[in-house]
Amino acid sequence: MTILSLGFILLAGLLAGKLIRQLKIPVVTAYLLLGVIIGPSALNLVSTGLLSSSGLISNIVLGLIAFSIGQNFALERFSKIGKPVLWISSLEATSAWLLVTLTFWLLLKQPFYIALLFGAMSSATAPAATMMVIREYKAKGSFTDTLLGVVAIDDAWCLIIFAFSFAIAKAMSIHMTSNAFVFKAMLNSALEIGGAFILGGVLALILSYLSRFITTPSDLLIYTLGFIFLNTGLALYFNFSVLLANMFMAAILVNVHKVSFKFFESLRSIDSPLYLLFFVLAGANLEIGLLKGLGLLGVAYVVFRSMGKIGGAYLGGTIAQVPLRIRKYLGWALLPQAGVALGVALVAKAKFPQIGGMIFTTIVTTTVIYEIIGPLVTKITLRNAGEI
Amino acid sequence: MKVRDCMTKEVITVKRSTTLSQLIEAFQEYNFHTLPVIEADKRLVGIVNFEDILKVFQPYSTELSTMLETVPFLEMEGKEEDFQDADISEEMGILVVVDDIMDTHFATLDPEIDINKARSQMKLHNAARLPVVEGGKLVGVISLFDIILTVFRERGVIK
Repeated sequence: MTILSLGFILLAGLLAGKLIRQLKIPVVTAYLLLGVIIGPSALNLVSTGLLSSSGLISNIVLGLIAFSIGQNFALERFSKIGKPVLWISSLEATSAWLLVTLTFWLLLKQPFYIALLFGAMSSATAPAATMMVIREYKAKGSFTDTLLGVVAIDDAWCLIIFAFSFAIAKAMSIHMTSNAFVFKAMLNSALEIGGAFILGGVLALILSYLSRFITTPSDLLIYTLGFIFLNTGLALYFNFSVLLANMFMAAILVNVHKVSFKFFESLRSIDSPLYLLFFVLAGANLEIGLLKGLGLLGVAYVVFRSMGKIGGAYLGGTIAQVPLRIRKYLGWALLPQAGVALGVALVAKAKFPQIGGMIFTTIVTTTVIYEIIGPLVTKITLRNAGEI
Repeated sequence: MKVRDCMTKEVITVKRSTTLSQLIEAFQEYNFHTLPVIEADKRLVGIVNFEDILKVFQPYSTELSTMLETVPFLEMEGKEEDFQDADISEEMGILVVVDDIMDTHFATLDPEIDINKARSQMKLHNAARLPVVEGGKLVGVISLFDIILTVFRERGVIK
């Protein structure tokens, strides 16, 4: 049944993606909705075996994503990112994180570690949705360039913010009743993050050194995947951050290996079906029954995340002294939310099963809302900025 | 046998400042799929592939495009070039230069390595032709055909 489900998901996903493109909605939304429809909450067509491997698949996919995003930390590339992009992206991501965290903690009276997780997830954007609108309307100009630069590195900020927040949330939830609560929580977080850096760094050096024995493209793919799985597996085993370990492995690799691009290119041949599967399973994991209890949380998440993005982009733009039209409108174009937020929500769901359903349902629901409204808002924003 | 013994030493190259029109003419004239981009002192700074010309259809810079390559799920949205409605003006032929579209991440070969290793590097990088570099400077280019020619000549299959 699991193999049958797999075949069905891949083919139905392909078809759903083709159909939804006609409606000018990001294809990710099609996969997500397909997952909801064929998931246990509706038609129940996904085998339990496959459904229970959602955690495994999201860890693999997140490992691949983190590894791919880590390329941006090549010194020569990072130094080329302009000040406006750095200021705007870092402030829109952290503003959404802070605003959502504080709202969930102080206004909605959620435990701090849950508020922290929601905040971290809110920092992600959806580059694919933004890109779809830019391509569709052939937007051009300084606003478009800044926007693309921001969405290109925004997910890196999100993964870093999430990794830190997740480490703190885990430590807090474990040591909540302990005497030296703050000290233990900080120590655990530092171990999780520091360990990930050391693990990723050491594996990057080994990967680079041994790659001289790799001579064919198929060996290269196996070799690269093997190292990502090894890194992910060891990070899980030692309770280090999977995201930071993979991101750091890539970051070290791009700075020490002359032709490191070959590792990243080789993965492109296999990532699409994995991503499709990841989104469909994310949709299938949605517990529709939890939707009715979502009202206030969902609304607060959408409102304060949007405020964080818009306000943070304005603030970043002001510091970097960009023209008013960029400062004013850029945050609006960052509203779409998709893959990375879902991925980290799945990780949170697996680690905190008692509240995971609520976290995940909020993120899936708001993703669908953002993916439908977001591209429309991006289009209006690009028009207001005078670039379409 | 070493790469130095098989490589083509007279290499057709372009500069960063070569215009799009000149580049297309070079591709037409020499029928190569890739051309090395060098500085005045022969330092290899990039590779330009005829597919790189498609970058002019993108509404954003090559630098941004390199950054966007790292972004997950982008390829899922498809990115077919719109040849029919492409926004191409006559001025593009002189306004776009090689520096705007060249690839700065590329593989090279050392002239002292064995040709079997060169062949496996070509396979690994899925490249029909690789630049040969010594001390950062371009000294030649080697293709599979260069290797075949040298081996066959050595065995007397061809004169």
